[in-house]
Amino acid sequence: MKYKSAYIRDSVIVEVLFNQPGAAVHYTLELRDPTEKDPVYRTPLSVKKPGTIRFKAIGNDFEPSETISVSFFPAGKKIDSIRTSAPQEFYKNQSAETLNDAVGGIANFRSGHWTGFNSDSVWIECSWNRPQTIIEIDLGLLQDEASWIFLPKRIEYWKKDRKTGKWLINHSKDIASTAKGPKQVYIDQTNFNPEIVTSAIKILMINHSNIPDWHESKGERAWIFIDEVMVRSWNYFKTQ
Amino acid sequence: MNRRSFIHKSSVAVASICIPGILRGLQPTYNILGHGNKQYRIDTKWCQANRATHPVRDCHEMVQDSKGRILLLTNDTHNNVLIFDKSGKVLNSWGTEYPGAHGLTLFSEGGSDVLFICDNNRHQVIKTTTDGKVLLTLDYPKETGKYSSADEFVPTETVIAPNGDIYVVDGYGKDYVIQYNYKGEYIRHFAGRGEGDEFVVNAHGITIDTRGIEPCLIVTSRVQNAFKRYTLEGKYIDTIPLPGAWVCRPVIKGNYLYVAVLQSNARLDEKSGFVLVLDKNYRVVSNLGGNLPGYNGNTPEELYQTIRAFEYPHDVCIDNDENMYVAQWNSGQVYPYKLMPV
Repeated sequence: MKYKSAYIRDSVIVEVLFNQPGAAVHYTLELRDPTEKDPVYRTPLSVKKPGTIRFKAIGNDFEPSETISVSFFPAGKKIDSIRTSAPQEFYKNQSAETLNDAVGGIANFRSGHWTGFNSDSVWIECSWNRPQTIIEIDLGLLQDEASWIFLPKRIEYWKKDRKTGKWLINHSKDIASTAKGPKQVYIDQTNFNPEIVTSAIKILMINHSNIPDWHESKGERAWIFIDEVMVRSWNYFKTQ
Repeated sequence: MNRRSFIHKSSVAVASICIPGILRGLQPTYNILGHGNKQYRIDTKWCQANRATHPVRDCHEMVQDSKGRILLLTNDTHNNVLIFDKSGKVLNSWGTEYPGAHGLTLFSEGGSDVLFICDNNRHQVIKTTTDGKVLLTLDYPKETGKYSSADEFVPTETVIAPNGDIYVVDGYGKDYVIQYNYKGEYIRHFAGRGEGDEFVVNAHGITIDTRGIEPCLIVTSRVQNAFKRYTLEGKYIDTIPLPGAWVCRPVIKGNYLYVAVLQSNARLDEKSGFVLVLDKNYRVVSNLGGNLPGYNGNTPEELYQTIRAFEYPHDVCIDNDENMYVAQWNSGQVYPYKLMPV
């Protein structure tokens, strides 16, 4: 399956590769596995709205394939300026702006869209020329523990106080890592209630300085890979 | 695999917009693979070896000798070489000294079969008889001026020219092709990494193609999903692109070129391998376990797995009855499969 991005600004074309005589790919937008009664994929699909598409290859002479799915998310608001702490040399993109370009969401650390860090902590600072109302922030993270890429141990959201200019912590969350998860794009969602009004926020991600004991490479330093910061003045996930 | 090798690989890989690990191959409920006049019935239970007495780890490469026996090279040092008859019965085994056994090439030297083993861990190429007696050892090629220690040389494959010249590909090292005479004396080196069509990335395999007017070398550039052709003197000729396919060693038998594909770009690190058959003009005519081959003009369409027949195929051997044997890397220590033409 091919698509340019899981983050949608206007539309995205989804192409599925599966030329196997005797089998056809069926798909559905509903929250269930496709069956042979669902439409057959014949030509690339144009996706204009966020949501999940599920595909399954079915043929008389074969057992059906596993269902695969891809989810598309609305891109976040434009960020006037975005800066980060230093990425690792091999996985730095041309600029931090790629974290706000609505391109990415492909679960492959070699895809070229990811910015990778292996420092103990990672910060991302987003600022605007005018104050913004922020109700939700979604982060596009890569989970691929087999390649030493973990979700952050902790994520903190700081906002710049409009009067004093000081950074104040607004929200934090811990993410436990107890076993190898699926290799996937992990959209970490945070809703802010009450809403934040600020011209700058800072996202601080704490890395696993030591890969947890359950992993075959325990004790090594983990990596954090991120490809998109989606800041919204509306709730996407709550409205799903 | 350590993190350093991930970095090394990714720094040379081509960025892809394919999603790995999504559309799984279909489980076959019947056992015919391939397309057109290159279709095969697969027998996954061909091998009759007893795991207790003849274990394998990675099954890296296979050849058939002049007696018709099938030789398998594995990196299990209980028996680096397992020798089978065509029915899958173990006839003999030997070898405890090849922890990094990877490349196995057979050459008829004045009517006698000799083997060339590439050992990744020993950083050497070892020439032996078919019963394991060592005849010659090639250490890292200092003469090239490109290597400062043996560790940098990680040979993956050899091919022997009719005049006895030995070509070694350093596929997990610096990707050079190093040419020696039959005595193991350095002649020249070429390929390696760089910007330009004449360079390669992951020179995993090599063979000599004698089907055309002039013989030529075919060198694998696995990460680039291509073969590259050179003259026997190392002059670059052209590139045979095979988009999406992590091709291993090219194996020529009759009019066809056969190659195991370790995995597809569309699904890296997810057991997405298949086997290709190319005709004399290097066009893909059959894909065993993969999609129906298609072309846009002279450019092949992307290749990928559709049927989960193989995990990580690493080499093919075609015997004198046109049967195919497939050896697999990192696939649960599975013994080779045999595929019979239908």
